[in-house]
Amino acid sequence: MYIYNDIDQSIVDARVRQFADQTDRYLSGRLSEDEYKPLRLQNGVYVERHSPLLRIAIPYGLLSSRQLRMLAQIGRVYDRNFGHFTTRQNIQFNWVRLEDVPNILGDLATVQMHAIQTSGSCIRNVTTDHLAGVAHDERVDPRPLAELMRQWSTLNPEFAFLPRKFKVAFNGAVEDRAASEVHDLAFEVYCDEAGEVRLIVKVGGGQGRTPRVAPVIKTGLHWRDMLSYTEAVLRTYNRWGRRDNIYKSRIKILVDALGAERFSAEVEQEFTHLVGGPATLPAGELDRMTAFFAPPAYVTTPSWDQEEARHRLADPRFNAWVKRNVARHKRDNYGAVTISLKSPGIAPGDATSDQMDAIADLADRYSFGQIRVSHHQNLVLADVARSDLWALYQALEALKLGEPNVGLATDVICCPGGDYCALANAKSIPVAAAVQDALAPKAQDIGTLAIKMSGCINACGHHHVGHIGILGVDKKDEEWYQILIGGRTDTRTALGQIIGKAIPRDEVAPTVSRLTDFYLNQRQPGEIFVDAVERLGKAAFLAAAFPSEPAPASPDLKLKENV
Amino acid sequence: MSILLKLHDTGAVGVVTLPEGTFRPAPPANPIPDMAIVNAGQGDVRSLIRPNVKQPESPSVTAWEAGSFVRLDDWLARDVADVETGPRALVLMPTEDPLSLAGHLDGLDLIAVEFAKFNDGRGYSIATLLRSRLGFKGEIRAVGDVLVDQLFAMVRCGINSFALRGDQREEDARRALATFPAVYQWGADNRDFALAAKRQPDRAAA
Ligand code: SF4
Repeated sequence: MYIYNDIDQSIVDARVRQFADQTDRYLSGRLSEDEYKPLRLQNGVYVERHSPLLRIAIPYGLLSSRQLRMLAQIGRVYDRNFGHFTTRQNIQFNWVRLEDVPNILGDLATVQMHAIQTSGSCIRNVTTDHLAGVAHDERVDPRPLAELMRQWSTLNPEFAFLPRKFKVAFNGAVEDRAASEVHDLAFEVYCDEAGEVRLIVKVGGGQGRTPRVAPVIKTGLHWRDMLSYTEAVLRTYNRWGRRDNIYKSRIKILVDALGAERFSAEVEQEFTHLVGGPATLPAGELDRMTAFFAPPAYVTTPSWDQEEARHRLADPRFNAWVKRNVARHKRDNYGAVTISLKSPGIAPGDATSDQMDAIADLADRYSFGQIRVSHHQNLVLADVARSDLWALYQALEALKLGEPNVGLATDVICCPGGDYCALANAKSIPVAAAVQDALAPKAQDIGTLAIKMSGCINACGHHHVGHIGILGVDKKDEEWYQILIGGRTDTRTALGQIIGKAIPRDEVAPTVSRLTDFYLNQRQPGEIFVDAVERLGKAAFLAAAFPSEPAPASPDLKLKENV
Repeated sequence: MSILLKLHDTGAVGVVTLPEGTFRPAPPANPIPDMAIVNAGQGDVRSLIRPNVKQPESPSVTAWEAGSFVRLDDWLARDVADVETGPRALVLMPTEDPLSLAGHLDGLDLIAVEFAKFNDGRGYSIATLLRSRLGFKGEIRAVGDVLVDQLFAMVRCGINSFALRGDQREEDARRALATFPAVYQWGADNRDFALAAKRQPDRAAA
C-alpha cells in the first residue's frame, strides 16, 4: 500500500494544526458558526441528529492492520466502542465530542490517516474496487492512479469551494465493483495494444434527487494526462456549475443542461491549454506508484486444498461461506475473503472496537496485514491462502463475523437513517433488520440479490442501484417507504424504477418477501433476481408485490423533498 | 480601518492600512457556542434547509489606492486613447469571464476578484486563469468575503493581495499564509509541488 513520505506527513500534520486552530477560534467565538461549518465539514465533522459525527477517509478502501487498530482505539477512547463503515469507503464515528476532533485527527496522523475532504463542497475521498489488485477480471490495478488522484485532490486550492460535492471513482475490471458510473467523475482504466495505460472518462453520474448514469465524455486519455484532464473538468464545473440552488448544483445538472457532447467539447477546449503543462505526470510516476501496490509474497500451495474440500462437505455453513464470501483471486491458490458486517441484529456496516482489533490480528495472520473496505459496507481480507480458509472461518465464527451471506438478500446496504442522520425522512436500520429477518431463511436459495436502503432521497444507501431499493419518504410527518426494482451496478449500470405507492414500515419486509417469492417461482436456471426483473418486466413484479389491494393508501402521493 | 495585505515576489508580506469601510466591514460579533448544545446534535434539520442561494449583485469595493475600479464591460468599452488618464484597475464579479480580457490587459495595474461569499469558489478559477492563461503580471486582489482561512488557497491561485474583511486579524492572516510546508499539486503560483516528483523523499511504514 502507499506509504507516506516526509512531505505527505508534513501536509497531514499541518492540516491537524490548522484545524485545531480553526476549532479554537470557533470555540472562543472568533469564527462564526456559518464560517466554521465548511471548515469542519472539509475535515469530516458533521453535527448529526444526536451528536457530532466524524467521517474518516479510507482512500480507495485500503487499510493496514495498524491503521485498523487505531480506528478501534478511537472507537474506544472517543466514541461508544464501535464505528460504522459507509458506502464510500469511509468510516464514521457517530458519537464524538466536537472539541475532541483535533485530538482524534492528531492520533490518525500518526498512522498516516486523515479526514480531509470527507465532506463539504469539494473533491471527496477517492474510491475504487475493493478487489483491486487481486480480482480475476481485472485489466489494470486502479490503485496507483487512485493514489495520484488522492494526492492531487488533497487541499487542491482551486477546487475547495465547488458548487457542490464531487466524487471520483476508478474501475479497472470487467465487473464494476466500485459503482463508478454513479459518480460525478469515473475513470475506466485499461491497457491499449501498445501496453500503455489509458482511461475512459465518464462525467455526471450520481444518485439522489436526480439519478444519472454517467455518460462517456472522453476515451483514450493517456494516464499522464489524467490530472490535466481532471483539472479541465473541474474548472469547467467550478465556473459554470449552478450555484443558485443546492438541488441543482451537482455536475450532473450541468452535463444534463449542456448535453454530454457540448460539455465534453467545453472540457476539451480547456484541456487543449493544459495538456503537456505542469500537471502532466512525469513519465516514471505510474511505475513509481505501482511499486507501492506490488503483490505480496505469495506462497506456493496447491490450489485445490483437500482439507478445504473435506470441511466443505462436512460443514454446510462453511461450504456456504466459501461459496458466498470467498471471491475468486488472480492466483488460484488464494481467495479474497469478505467479512460480512451484516450479521443479524447488527446495524449494517457497524463493527465494534474489539472486532476491529480481532480483524487486524487476522489480517496479520492470514492476509499480509492488509484490510479492504468495500462500498457494500463489508471488510475484505484480499489475500488468503486457500489452505487457511478453514482456520480463518473458524476464527471469524468465534467473533460472530462468519455470516455466509455476501451478495445475498441479507447483505443489505443501509444508510444510518433516522436513528442518526439529521436529514432522514425515515429510519432505515430497523427496516433493514426486518427485511433481513424475513429473508434469512430463504436467502441462500434466492442467491444473488442486492437490497439497498436509504432513509431519504440523498441515497447514501444507494437505493437507485439496488436490485431492490428501499427509500424512506416523508408524508405528513409520517415515515413511509417506496420500493424500487431493477437497479444494478455490475457489468453495466441501471437505475431502479419505483413500483407502487409508498407503504408503511410494517409492510416493507412482507412486500420484499413477496417479490422474492415471485422470483423463486418464476426464475429460470441460473437467472438472478435482477435478470428476472429485466425478463419479466416491472409490471409482473408490481402485481406480485401488491397482490390484492396495494398496501394501505398513503395520504399524499407527492414525495416530500429534502436535501 | 481596513487592512490590505500584499504578498511580494520575495515572499515578504506588506501591510497597507486604508480608511475604515474601504473593504467589507466586520459582521456582528458571534456568540460563544454552547458546546453542551452542539454536542447534543441538532435534531431534525430538514425544515431548516433553504435550497435557494442568493447570488452576488454588486462588488464590495468601489475604489483602490489610486482611483476607482471599473467594471469589466466598461473596461472593454473604454477609449484606448485615454490610456494615460483613464482607469487602471477593474473588479471582476464571480459570474464574469476573465478570458474576455484576452488582449485587453494593457494599462491594467490591478484586477480585483470578488469573493461575494467566502464559499463561492469561482474566484479561485478566475485568478488561476488570469495568471496562467492570460499571463497577467499585475496585482490580483481578493476582495469581499476575504477570510484568513482562505488565504493559503488564494495565494496558490495567483492572488497576491488581500482586502481582509473588517473582523480578520493581521496576525492570523500572516499565520494562515504559512499553513502548509508543502503542497501536492501545481497551482498558478508556480510553487514547487510534490506530484512533480523532483526528489525521492524519506518514507516510514504505516
Ligand atoms: S440517505 Fe438520507 S437519511 Fe440516509 S444517511 Fe443519507 S442523508 Fe441521511
